[in-house]
Amino acid sequence: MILELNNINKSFINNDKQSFAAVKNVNMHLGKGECIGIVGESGCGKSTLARIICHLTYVDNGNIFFKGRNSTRLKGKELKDYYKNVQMVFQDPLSTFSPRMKIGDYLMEPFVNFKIMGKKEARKYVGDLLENVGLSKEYLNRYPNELSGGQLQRVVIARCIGINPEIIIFDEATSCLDVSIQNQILKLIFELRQKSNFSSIFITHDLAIAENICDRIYVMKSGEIVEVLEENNIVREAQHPYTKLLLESSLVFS
Amino acid sequence: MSTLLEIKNLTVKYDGEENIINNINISVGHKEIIGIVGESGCGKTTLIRTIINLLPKHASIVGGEIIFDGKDLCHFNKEQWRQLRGKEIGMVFQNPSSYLNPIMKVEKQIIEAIRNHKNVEVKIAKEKAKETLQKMNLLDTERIMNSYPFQLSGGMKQRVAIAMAMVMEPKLIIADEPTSALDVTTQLQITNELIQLRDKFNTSIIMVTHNIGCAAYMSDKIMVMNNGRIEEFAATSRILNDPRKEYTKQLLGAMPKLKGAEGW
Ligand SMILES: Nc1ncnc2c1ncn2[C@@H]1O[C@H](COP(=O)(O)OP(=O)(O)OP(=O)(O)O)[C@@H](O)[C@H]1O
Ligand SMILES: Nc1ncnc2c1ncn2[C@@H]1O[C@H](COP(=O)(O)OP(=O)(O)OP(=O)(O)O)[C@@H](O)[C@H]1O
Ligand SMILES: [Mg+2]
Ligand SMILES: [Mg+2]
Repeated sequence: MILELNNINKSFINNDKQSFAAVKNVNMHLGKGECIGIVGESGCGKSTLARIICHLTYVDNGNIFFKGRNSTRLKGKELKDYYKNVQMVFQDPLSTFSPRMKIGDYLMEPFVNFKIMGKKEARKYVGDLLENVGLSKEYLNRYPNELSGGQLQRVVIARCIGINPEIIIFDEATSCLDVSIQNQILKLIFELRQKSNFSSIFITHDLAIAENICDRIYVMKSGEIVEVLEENNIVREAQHPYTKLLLESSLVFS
Repeated sequence: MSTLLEIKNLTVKYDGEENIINNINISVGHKEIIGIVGESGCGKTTLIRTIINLLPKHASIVGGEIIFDGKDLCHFNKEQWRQLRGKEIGMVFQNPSSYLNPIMKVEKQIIEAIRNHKNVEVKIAKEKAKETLQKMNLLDTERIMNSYPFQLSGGMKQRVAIAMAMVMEPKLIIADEPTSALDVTTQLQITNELIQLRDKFNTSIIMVTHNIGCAAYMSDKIMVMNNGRIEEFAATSRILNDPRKEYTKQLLGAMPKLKGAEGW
């Protein structure tokens, strides 16, 4: 077991001073090399949960176990190591870039910072990473606002994959890609998973994708997990009314 | 059907690059819904930004005409654009967070958007704002109105942006992947609201989407773009049942499907 969440809770204090529970009593586990999915209503707490796992937001209560160790509160070197090992592709790609940093520098940053390789070597490495996600090396010299939405998203995916972490969380990472590039990225992730055996958490609204790539799917609504699907056939397995509602809507579009 | 928007021989480029939009011709009728699909980076956002005159400085229109409601948009001045945007043309951008004002609460943003174009009391504007947010399935309306954008989820921000485009009941809505990050149930509801808006106010809609299922469900016509050009542009049923270009076939074939979906 690489990651275990026990009874995670998180509330926000609103501007009218009321407390709003975004994540309620969530239990979840992720095995080495596994890929789990989270699907659910917009605003139900998926990204908040992801940020908790990445230590970008504190939990109110509950525990996070990373490789068997209680990692709910970390600081200093431990936290730094954790950041390196648990990476996230954010929902809104543009927010992860600083507008004045070229794509090449953005991609090289972690390798140079974590002292994984020298500058020259890093430049070659990140060029190859870009090509893996279907972008030419020329993009290294561009600024973020000179790329399309889907191109930016792929740059973020390339960087995360390149760091070679133990866990990657993909938060709606392929929803702004057309189906053919989406398939290409999913294939890439699948191949890498076989090679380096990283574990992943896939947050997506696309039930078909979740069914295709996930070993287990958690269905969330209003901060809670309402159903866990493990059989790789959502239509057959869905019991909870909310999961069925999602299914019905998705069949309207197919 | 009379024409609302007509684009003729449009070509656009960024400085120092090849043409990104290449000789595009489209006409959009009143009440018509057009879905635009195409590979990431093929020029969809650039096309939309050209229509509403929001290209970055280092981009230029090489040639062509854009006629909206009988007026030539290429010669509009700043004040004319201010009048047009929001009121006659509503827009939803691909990354809503960068267009919502980060330091203004949602309530104030929508009310200001309404009152910029319409001489109504704050109270009435607020009612209208609430009603529109509810249509977006933002049922926790009071909390959302009282929030700053950073306090909302990605999909909630998308929905606020759609509400802001719809609230003025414009003649045309141009939306760049407005529902890409929404769960399917919410996506369906919003799609239905857009269709209703069209039925009620004769609004035309141009919507860029990666969800071909969604394009098929709501559009009268689908435009398939590739490499800055139109591959094919035809009635939705024609594109779905009789795709004529290799690229279109590829797109249709690549759609992910649920295993148990047969026989539902
Ligand atoms: N910083 C914050 N302050 C206050 N409330 C917040 C904050 N961040 C998130 N929330 C609230 O928590 C809830 C869950 O948000 P979250 O971003 O986790 O949803 P999500 O499931 O990722 O939704 P989506 O699918 O739309 O991205 C939302 O109702 C949101 O308004
Ligand atoms: N400001 C810019 N300067 C130079 N090139 C740009 C600029 N903006 C976009 N491009 C390039 O123009 C092409 C079209 O970009 P555009 O954003 O229109 O694509 P798109 O079809 O919307 O893609 P996506 O589906 O990924 O959002 C891309 O190859 C992109 O790299
Ligand atoms: Mg989210
Ligand atoms: Mg785009």
